[in-house]
Amino acid sequence: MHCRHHALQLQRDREELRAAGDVVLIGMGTPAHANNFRAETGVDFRMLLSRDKAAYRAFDLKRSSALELFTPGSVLKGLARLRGGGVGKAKGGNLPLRAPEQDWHQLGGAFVIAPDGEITWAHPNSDVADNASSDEIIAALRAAAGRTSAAR
Amino acid sequence: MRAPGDLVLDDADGGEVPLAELWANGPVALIFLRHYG
Repeated sequence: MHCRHHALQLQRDREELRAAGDVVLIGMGTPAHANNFRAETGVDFRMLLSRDKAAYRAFDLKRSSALELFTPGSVLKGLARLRGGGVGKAKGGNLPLRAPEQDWHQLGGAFVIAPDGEITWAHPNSDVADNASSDEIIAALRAAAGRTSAAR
Repeated sequence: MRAPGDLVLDDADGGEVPLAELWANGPVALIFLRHYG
């Protein structure tokens, strides 16, 4: 549910995001899983897969217990997001349409990387609802672009 | 901290994409999804 909500939020803000820099989604699973997700959410960002989760490990993203994943705050956010939470609903609604086929203990996150390969901003998620906002991502992309210009 | 540019990911069409290609031409935001539920 939170992944679908996050995708809808990014899609809603796609023009501002793309004006600030490139955005790439990374998921687990198979190409069929990714293509279904794109069809259900309408998200049209480039999407890549780390089927063995090597990229998740390389960026030090946590695998958490159920108690760590579902904090009281994340449950409250989930209830708001079921109603659309300002970004609307995916095809079929914002409730999960099926049991997760990927590792549901694995948390996501967001990172901005400058052209020299430096990670200039990191937001590793602390629970299931802790997704970075579009504003945070846009600000981080602009800062990375400014850093690149200053280095030239 | 440097990003792990030597990783290779799959795209949704089954092709391979070296991670370092993603930021070669400008800053990029990588958004890691938890799952597709």
